[in-house]
Amino acid sequence: MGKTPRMTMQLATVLCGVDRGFRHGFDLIDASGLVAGTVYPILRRLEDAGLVIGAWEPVARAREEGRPPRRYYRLTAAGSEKLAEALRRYPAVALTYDMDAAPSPRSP
Amino acid sequence: MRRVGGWRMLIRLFSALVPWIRRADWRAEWEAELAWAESEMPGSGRRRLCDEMHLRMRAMSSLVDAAWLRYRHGRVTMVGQDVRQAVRSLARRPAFAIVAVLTMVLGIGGVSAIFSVVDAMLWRPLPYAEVERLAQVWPVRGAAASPAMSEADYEIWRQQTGVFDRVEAHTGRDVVVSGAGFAERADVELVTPGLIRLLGVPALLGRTFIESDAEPGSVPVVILGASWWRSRFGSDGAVIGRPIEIDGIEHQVIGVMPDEFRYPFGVNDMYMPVDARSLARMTVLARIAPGLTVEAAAERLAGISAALETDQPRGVGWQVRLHPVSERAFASQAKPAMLFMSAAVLVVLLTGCVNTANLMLVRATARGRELAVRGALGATRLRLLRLQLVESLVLAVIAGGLGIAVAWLGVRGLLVIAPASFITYSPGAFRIDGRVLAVACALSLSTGILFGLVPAVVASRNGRSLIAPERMSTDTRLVKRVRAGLAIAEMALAMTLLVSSGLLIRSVRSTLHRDAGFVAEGLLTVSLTAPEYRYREPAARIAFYNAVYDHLAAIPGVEVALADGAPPTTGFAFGVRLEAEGRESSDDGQPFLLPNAAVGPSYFDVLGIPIETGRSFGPQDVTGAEPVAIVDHDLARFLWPGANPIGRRFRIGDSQPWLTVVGVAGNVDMLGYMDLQMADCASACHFGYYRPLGQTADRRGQHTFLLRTRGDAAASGPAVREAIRQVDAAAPITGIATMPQRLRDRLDKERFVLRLVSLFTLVAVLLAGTGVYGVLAWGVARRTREIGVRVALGAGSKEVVADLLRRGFAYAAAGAGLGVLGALAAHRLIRGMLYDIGPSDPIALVAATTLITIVAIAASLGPARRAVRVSPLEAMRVD
Repeated sequence: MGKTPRMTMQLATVLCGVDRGFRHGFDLIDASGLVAGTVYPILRRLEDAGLVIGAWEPVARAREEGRPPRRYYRLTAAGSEKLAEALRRYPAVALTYDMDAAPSPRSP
Repeated sequence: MRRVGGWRMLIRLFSALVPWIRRADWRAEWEAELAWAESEMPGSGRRRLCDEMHLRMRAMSSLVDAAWLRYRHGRVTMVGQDVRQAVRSLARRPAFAIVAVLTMVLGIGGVSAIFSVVDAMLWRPLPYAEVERLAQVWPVRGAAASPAMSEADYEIWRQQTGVFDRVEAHTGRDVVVSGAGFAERADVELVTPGLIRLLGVPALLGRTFIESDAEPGSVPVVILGASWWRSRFGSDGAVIGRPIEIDGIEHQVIGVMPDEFRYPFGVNDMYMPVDARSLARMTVLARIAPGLTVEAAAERLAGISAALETDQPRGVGWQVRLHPVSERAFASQAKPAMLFMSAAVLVVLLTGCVNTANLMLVRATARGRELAVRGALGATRLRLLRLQLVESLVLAVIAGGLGIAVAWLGVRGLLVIAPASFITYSPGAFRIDGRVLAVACALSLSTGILFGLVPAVVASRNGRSLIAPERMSTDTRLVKRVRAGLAIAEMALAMTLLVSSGLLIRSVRSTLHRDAGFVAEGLLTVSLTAPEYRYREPAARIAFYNAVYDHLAAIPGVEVALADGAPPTTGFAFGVRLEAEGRESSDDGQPFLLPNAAVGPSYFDVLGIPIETGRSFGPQDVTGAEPVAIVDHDLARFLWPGANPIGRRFRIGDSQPWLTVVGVAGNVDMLGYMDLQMADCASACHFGYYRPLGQTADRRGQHTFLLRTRGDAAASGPAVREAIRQVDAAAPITGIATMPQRLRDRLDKERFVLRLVSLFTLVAVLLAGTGVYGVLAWGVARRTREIGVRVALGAGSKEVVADLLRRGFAYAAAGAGLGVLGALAAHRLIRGMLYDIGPSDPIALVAATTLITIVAIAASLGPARRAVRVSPLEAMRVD
């Protein structure tokens, strides 16, 4: 497990996004408005630090939809604590996701 | 659903960047995301085009992710893993690792150590300001050069403002430094006050000279050289202002020069200021005016030379020569020796590299199976390459580190064994500096990379198949040729060194055993100088030497002789013009190297030099009587062939008196061999003559007492020191050594080079042997099946062995042939150190060839034994 990453606004945004249910990489990218080159390294860092856990969705479900299984991320307990800290520091990031009540498959 | 092309290829491409443990996951994640995004896309329309572009952009951005992972984990997981793996793999075969590291360490360490010496002597830029404009101004006539100038010359040069923009002068002198109960000799350079400033080197401590330091009546001051300051004052920083007694006068230390300041000819003990007008002889140092080259300046001076000819005592025909300071007068004499040592050590490095490459190749072949398995389990070719590369890099880094340590020790070792003249006259101090270190590191790393790659390429090609590597025939023919070529190259390089060191050994031996013309055994030589500040008049000096003579003669069991100058065989001579009565002068103007000595009456008896005809010197040969001389056998024959030389007269130069020959002595090597090589004339004019001490006027400079002792000459040393101390405790002994010791010392440069080169040769020969062994052993391993089949079909073991020995012999023959050519090329470098030995000395050539053949055959015996043991059954089982 890597060391805890430095808190930045982008990191807070990704953390908050995972918490709000944007669990796939591309969903996070679309919802947060950040670019892939920013989101993925943050996800890798969060995963290394044990703040999020990445896992593969069941193969059966993916097969039904005729695509490869996707990797999704969820917060750990430590991640939830970190999120609280992040929101105290950057309260505005919560607003990023308040526009949509629920995760949409694709943003326009 | 329509597919969007291209992104899969991009992901696959970028995944190469991702550390391999995460690679599969990484690729799956990106492919899944992109596939999902693709599946979500509308079927057609403008929107579709936009989305396709968007998808591709997103696929591109996976590069950032991959690069980030590479950056974050690459160093830790991959390189760390690679290195660990390489170390483990090397540790499994420690013999290979040790041999490979040792050969590289020897090469790198040796090269760094030798180059630190060569760099100091030849290459490191001199630390003087605008050194390319600095030149010594020497008057010359024909081949005879006289570095000495008179005050009048100095004034002439000072006026040449168009040619020189500054002119300073200096001269060397022996002084006596005395203190409570001790006296020692020191080399002082007397310099005009502006000289050190002209050279532009600031003092390490204190200050350099100013004009008023040389004025009459000023406080006597001295600047210490770094080595004197270190050895006599323990590098004391508070030395400035201390008094020091030089030639009986108290001087004040005003500065210390740094170690790099070695003008004019290497290390000086101290520097004292002098007014050029008070010097009878001096060397002039000038800075050439801006915009003039050395050649242009010399051309302009040619016109002024006429002015020199008005300087009557010197005679006509003089010209001016400019010696640029950057030419390093002494060091350039040692240049061939230096270059030869560099070449020898480079040979060792090259052989080492060749051997390492060979070893790597053997190893790669031997590991073919392991690599094939790795390949089959999914290791990519790149990965296999990297495995090999990292392994050779690990070896190179270890070897580089150890090599630097060896170089560091080597430089210290060289300081101990190098001839004093190398250390004293080197224009720079021996040290490993950044450049040498950089060269060593570059060598180490490039060796590793270069030679790690070749076997790695071969291994990775072969590694793609699980078939036994020894059956793989792709490019084995090329590999075989390369390896045979490498083995022959090693043999040739070793042979070159063998022949060269054989020649050096023969030369040193023959010189050591050569008849010097007198009996050296049991002879003790003691050099000393009557300190001029205590013995100002010639009579006082004569009395001093006579007193020392009497005291030495009083030592029981000792016979004493006295001569001026240095002991025989260590002498020194300038080219002179020789004129003889009754002889047709066919060699007009040609200078002769004519060593001579003023000797006391007992000289010939004590040294055991035969007087062939005439008489020895006697008490009647004093100032006022007819000037006489004894010539040696060769000079007598040369001047008056077939005639009786007794009673005939000759003279040296126009201004010297005629000398009447009273006797002919046996030939003696009066000069060191080195000087002979330097002289412009052939060794045919290596003559000598003697004058009586009683007829030399001023008795200045060094004198040498020669003591014939019974038994061990060195044992008389303490008694000799005590006898001299009784005469004058303030008279420093310059040198005390037995004559056999001096005979060995005069070859110190040759012996130094020989010792190092012998070491390099030994290493090169061992490496070459290992190389041949490696090639043949590899061949046997590869041909196990073939040999087995042959044996099964009835071939005797004799034929198998004969085949291998024949190959070993072929390598030796090819190597020896090429090596002789190499030795001929190397001869140019060592010619200056060879006496009476030509480049094709049969004994050296035969010995070297025999040795290299023995090494090659010995190297092929091991593989031959293994081949004999091959049983047909086992051979068939080898996969």
